[in-house]
Amino acid sequence: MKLDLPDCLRHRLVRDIALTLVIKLVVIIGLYQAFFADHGVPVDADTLADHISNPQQSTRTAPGAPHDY
Amino acid sequence: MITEELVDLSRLQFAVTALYHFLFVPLTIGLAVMLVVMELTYVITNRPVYKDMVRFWGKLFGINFALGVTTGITMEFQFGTNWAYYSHYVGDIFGAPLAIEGLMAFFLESTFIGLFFFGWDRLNKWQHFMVTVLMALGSNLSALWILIANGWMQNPVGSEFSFITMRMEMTDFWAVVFNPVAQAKFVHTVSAGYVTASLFVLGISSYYLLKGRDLEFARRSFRVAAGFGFASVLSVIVLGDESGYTVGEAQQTKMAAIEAMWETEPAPASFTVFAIPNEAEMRNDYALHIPYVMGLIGTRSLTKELPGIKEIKAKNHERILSGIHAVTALEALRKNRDDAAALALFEQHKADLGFGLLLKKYTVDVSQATPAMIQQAVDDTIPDVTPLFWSFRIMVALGFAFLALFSLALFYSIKGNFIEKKWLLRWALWFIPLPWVAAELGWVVAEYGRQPWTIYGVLPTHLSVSNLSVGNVYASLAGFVIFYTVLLVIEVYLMQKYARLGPASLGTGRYFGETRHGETAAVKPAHA
Repeated sequence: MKLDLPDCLRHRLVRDIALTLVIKLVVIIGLYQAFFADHGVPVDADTLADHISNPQQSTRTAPGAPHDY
Repeated sequence: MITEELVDLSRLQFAVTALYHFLFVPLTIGLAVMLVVMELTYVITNRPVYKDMVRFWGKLFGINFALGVTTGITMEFQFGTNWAYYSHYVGDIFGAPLAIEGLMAFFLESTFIGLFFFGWDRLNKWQHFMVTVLMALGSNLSALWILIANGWMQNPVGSEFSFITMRMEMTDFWAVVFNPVAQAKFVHTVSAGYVTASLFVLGISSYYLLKGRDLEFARRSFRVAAGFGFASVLSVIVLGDESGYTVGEAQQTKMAAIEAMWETEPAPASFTVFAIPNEAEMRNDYALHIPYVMGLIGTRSLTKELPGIKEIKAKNHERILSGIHAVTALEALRKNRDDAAALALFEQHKADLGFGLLLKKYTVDVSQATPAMIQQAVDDTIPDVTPLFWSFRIMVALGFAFLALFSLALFYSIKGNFIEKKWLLRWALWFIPLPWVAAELGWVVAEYGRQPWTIYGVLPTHLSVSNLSVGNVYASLAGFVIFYTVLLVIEVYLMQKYARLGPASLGTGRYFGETRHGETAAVKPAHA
């Protein structure tokens, strides 16, 4: 069965751009999940004060981050 | 542990994403305004060729916008991940213009871009023209708010540090908005975008003229680009000079490094056209000067001196010594907020807190810093001179080359014989990539010249970085580079594909190739 595309999607450039946007969103979500999700650095006044006081000993990144330093 | 490698990698990651992002931005900013000029001409004259110009150049604008739009979002991720301490320290101020940019400018731009492309048959020509105006306004307002945020990093006005919240807190919103550094950067940057778009249109129109195709369309596009580009390149140069003046006031260190000005010269200082900076011995070899120019640019006066690097270092030495008191007082206040002696000491020295923090790179207890450590921190306050010196000069040289090109293009446009000047058309075609080179070098001057600070004089870069694993930053950096390169390849492919196809891609039946080789088979006129 042939897909009945909306008028705007029959234009080749629009299809190209729409496909690019979808791929881009998927890749960005992938990058976010791989490198950023759960890697947030919770910072408040006390952790910042500790960090400034002794940057070499400041607390390592995030809850759930798989690091052991 | 926060190592130099981690700091450098985080900086590199942000620089790479910013530089990639800025490959897309200038064309969006500039083409949007050029579309307004073309469409205004259409609504006044009612000539179909101008409508075709808006639709064709608008198509290239759309490709650029679609490919570039999300490259900026990843930078905002990085504030939270790679620059968490920075985000806490200055987020109350830095976050405000970014939020306004999203709500006011980006939403406006995105909404009206949809109407721009799909509103041709639904809106009358004046309504559609207003849509184009609002789209251009959105993209330029977007630049304004981003540059207000960036200008505050260069010249942090309207704010004060609170030792209780450990944040910079806004004291004067309008001082942040009307920060002279931000305003000068905004007009300089958007003008650079207008030059980029003008040269893009001029170069592609020249290609059609050299090929002897789509002559009426290309001739009118060439003329619009020549006039708009000439006005824009004059603005870039004049407003770049204004930027130099504000840099001189707010960031004399950057100015001295750009000029490789080791000693304070008698006013008015000369401009160094060429030299080989010798950073180790703090002198320039083979220097060629133009008298008075630098003093006039940097101070707008014949009598005010611009301090040289050695004098700036001496002042910074004093500020670091004062900053040591601010840091020790801050640490005492964090332990006991009611410590009146510490509070008095902190109030006395808090203007130099950032300079004291520079020592944290070398020692935990800044009160025990040795003279060698203090000297290292003093040396850190001056960014590397050679990259700044050359980046600035190449950028300026390109600016004057664009001025020459647009002057000639406008001159021959007025005379009406530019089609015969094949050398001019080839020059315009081959110059298409160079505004991007100039724009990227401008960012290098602005941001590399801000080092060793994320916020000038307030927060050193090495204290701004999150404590991440080096491996993670390497991996995400590689991910960004691969992903952005793919985007760039798609952008260049689509741009050259539609540029080669030309206005025939509109499917009006009036342009080159539409009746030959089936070029239009790929583009259905009814839906163009």
